[in-house]
Amino acid sequence: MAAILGKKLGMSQIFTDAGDRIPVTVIQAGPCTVTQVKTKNRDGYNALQIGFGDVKERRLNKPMAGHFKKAGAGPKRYLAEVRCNLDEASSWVRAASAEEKKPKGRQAKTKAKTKEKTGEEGAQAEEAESGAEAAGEAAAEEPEAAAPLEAVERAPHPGDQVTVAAFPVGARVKVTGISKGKGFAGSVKRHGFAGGPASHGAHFHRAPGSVGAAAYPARVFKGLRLPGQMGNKRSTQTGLEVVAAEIEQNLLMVRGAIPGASNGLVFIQTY
Amino acid sequence: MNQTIARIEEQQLKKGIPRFKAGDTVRVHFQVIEGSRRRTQVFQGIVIKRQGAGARETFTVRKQSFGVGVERTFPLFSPKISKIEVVSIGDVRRAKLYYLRSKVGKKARVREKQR
Repeated sequence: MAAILGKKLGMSQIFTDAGDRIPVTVIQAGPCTVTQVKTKNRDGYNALQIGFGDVKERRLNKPMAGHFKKAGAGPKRYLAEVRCNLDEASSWVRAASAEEKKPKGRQAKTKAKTKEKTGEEGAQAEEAESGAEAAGEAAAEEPEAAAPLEAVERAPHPGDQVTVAAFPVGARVKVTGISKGKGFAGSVKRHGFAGGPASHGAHFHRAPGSVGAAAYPARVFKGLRLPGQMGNKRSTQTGLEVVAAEIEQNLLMVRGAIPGASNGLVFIQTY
Repeated sequence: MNQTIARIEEQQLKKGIPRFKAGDTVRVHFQVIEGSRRRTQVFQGIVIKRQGAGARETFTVRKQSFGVGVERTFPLFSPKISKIEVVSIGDVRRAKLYYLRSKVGKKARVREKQR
C-alpha cells in the first residue's frame, strides 16, 4: 500500500486516445521524505511517518527540529503516518538518491550497508549475510533487514523518498482531505431534506419540521438530522483511479473530484 | 488558473482550427464509433455559443432537423473532430444566441455578414 501527501492544484480534463474526455483533479504529490519508521517492537505498531513540503528551519520549534535532525530529513511542513507492512514498503519507498543526505545518527552504518546492498550482482546469499550482520548492528531499528529476498529491496529508513512513481497509471486510490466549509447549514442543504413549497400559501419552507413526538418519548432521539456545521471536516473519497502521472513534475492526475479547495493538503493512498 | 494546469491543458490544444464565432454556420466532421466501425458524421448548423477556455473550450451548434431544433455541443479540441469548416460568417450582435431557440421559420435565421 503506497501513500503520499500532496497539494490539490485544481481540476481539468484529459482526452483519451479514443477521444473521450476524462475529468481529472491535478495533484502536486510529493516528493515525501520518510521522517520516522515505527516498528511493532518499539512503538507497538508498524508505520512510516512521511513529511511533505519544505519549511524554513526557524519556523520549527525545538522538539520538531530535533525530530527532523534525527531523521536526516530537512524541515517539513506536513507530516502523516501510514500504517503498513514494513516488508512490503520497499515496493513504494525509494532509497534516497546518492546526493541526498543520509540519516546523520547512523551515517557510518547506513553507508556501509548501502554499499553492501548495492554491491551489484553479488550473490544473494552474500546479500542475506551482510544484511543479517547489518541488522545485528542496527538492532531494534529494523528487524526486517535480516530477510530481504531481492537484492535492491530493504527495509525503509528515515530519509527515504516517496514519489509519484509509486502510483502507476490505473491504480485505485483513495484521497483524504479537509472538505470545503459550508458553515452552519440548514437541514435542506446539509442532509438533503426536501423542504416545503415556496408558494400557494405555504408556511413551511426550509425548516426541519417536527423533531419528535409528545409525552412519549418526551425527548429527541440521538442522531436526528438537524442543522449544524457542514464541511470543513476530514473526508475521504474512495474508488478513484490514477489517470496520468508526470514523475519529473511530481504530478498525479486522478479521475473525478477530491475533497477540499485548491491548494489544500491531500493524502493519497492506494488500496 | 494554476500555471501547472494551464501547461497541461496547453499540451492538448490542436492547431489548424479555423476562426469562428457565434452566428457563423459551420460543418463539423465528427467521428462516430459504431462497434468496431468508425465513420465520419457531418453536423451542419449555426454556432450559438462558445464557452470555456483552454483545452476545455466547447461550442454548441444548432440546426433544424425535420422541423425539430437540434443542438449539439462539441469540445473544441476533441480528437474525434476531424475537421471544422466555416460555411458562412454571420452578422450578430451578441456572443450567445439563445434567442434563436424561441424563434421559428424565417425569424430563426442569422444575417450573413456583408463584405
